[in-house]
Amino acid sequence: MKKQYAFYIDTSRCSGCKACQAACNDKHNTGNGILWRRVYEVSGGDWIRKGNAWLPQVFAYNISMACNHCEDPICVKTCPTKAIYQRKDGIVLIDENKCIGCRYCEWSCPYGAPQYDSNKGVMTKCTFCYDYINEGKNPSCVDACPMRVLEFGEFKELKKKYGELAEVYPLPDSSITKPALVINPHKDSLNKPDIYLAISNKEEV
Amino acid sequence: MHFAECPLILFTIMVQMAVGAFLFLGVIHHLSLVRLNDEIFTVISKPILNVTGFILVLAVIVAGFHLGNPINAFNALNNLGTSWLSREILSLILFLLSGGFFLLIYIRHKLNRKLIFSLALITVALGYIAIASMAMVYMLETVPVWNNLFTPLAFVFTSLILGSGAILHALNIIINKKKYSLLLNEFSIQKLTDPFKIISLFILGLLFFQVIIMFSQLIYLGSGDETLRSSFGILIEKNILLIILRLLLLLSAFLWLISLLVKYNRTRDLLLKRKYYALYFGILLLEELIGRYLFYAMYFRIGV
Repeated sequence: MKKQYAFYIDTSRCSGCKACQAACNDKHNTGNGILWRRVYEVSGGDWIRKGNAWLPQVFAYNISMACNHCEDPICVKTCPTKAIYQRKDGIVLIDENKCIGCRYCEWSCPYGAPQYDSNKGVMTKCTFCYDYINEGKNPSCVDACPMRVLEFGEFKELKKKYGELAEVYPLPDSSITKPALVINPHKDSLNKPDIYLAISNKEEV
Repeated sequence: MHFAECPLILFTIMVQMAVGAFLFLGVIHHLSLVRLNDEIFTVISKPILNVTGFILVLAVIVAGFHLGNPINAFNALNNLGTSWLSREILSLILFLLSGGFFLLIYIRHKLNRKLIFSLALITVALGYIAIASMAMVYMLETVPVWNNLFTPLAFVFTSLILGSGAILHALNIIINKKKYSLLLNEFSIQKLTDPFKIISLFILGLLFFQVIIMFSQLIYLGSGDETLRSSFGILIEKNILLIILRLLLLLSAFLWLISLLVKYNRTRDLLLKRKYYALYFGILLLEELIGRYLFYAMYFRIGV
């Protein structure tokens, strides 16, 4: 079976400190408003009736999200130039020398992974810090997390260890691109179909 | 909507209009809607074909402005296996080549009717294949607001409305320009106004269906799932004035054409000799430009 690197995210622990985001920017010197890893703050709530009383039930949780190096990456399929490609270890990369900057991958990716660099006129994205992995180190976001929310490894191993959940609000149906992602959900991110919830830091991400 | 998508509005509209105009020029000729011999018809069709070709070349140049790194543009055909964007570009290139070849043959061998007809048919087919590929580019599984029948419908209707509108406008210019009226006698001019009624009736039908499609799409978005409702929200909150303006333009184009048709039936006046078709075409063009702006403005992707 082919190798597939994946991320594990423990959303039950994430404090939303954005150290992962900062470490990623620092390592790759992204700048120019580009965020290969972003922390989405989800908040929601409603009034819940208990007997004769209406009680407020509010909650919030964070999801740290980068490219999920999907098993069936829609960006690789839609890219007209083959600038986006998938390596044998599952890592999805962009060859900036081939990219024409049409931004079609940006339209199609439901995780907001490909990001446009207006200085270079090409798309950029998370590289899984493959240079660090080659040196036997962890990706920079994984090591930067003070809450130990992020982990990386072989998709098979991570699934064995943490289960197979790969979608909680606001992530899309995982059957579309088969993200190499395992999530330990925050307790408030599940089983709340009728309660209002939304991303509350849209302008930041 | 990103500012970067402005060239795409112009590019899609120009290509679709050119394909439609080519189709209508062929239709009025081959269905003998203009009962003129081939040689006289060539006098009017040459300038129309030249302008159509110019619009297509302009469309390709405009599309280049959408690219962040146009130097690499030759890579755009690399992924014909899975990318509809590559396929769209290929089909557009084939349409351009076929159209160019047609023009060459048409100018040099204008009497070889069979060859010209076959080439015209191939060119029209390639044009609509390019429009279909264009629609497929937008029909992404992750963008439900585009991934439905309304996308190809919008593109085909743009092609038919602007194509027929452009031909009406072009016939009007030719009839009123001294340069051409010297080449065409009064009899030919009279014959050139023949297709007015049938093209007008066709445009009327298209405008009627365009309004129905517009409302059906709004209902579809408003009553759909969360993603579709988000797009509906964007349209209503930010673009309601443009939606109303588009509707008013459609309505005015519709009523204007009806009044012309009534007049034509009453007086048999050579209405194409009048000079207001530029404004009429302008209304159609503005309506379609607004429609395409709204198409890009309602973009909403699933996920984050």
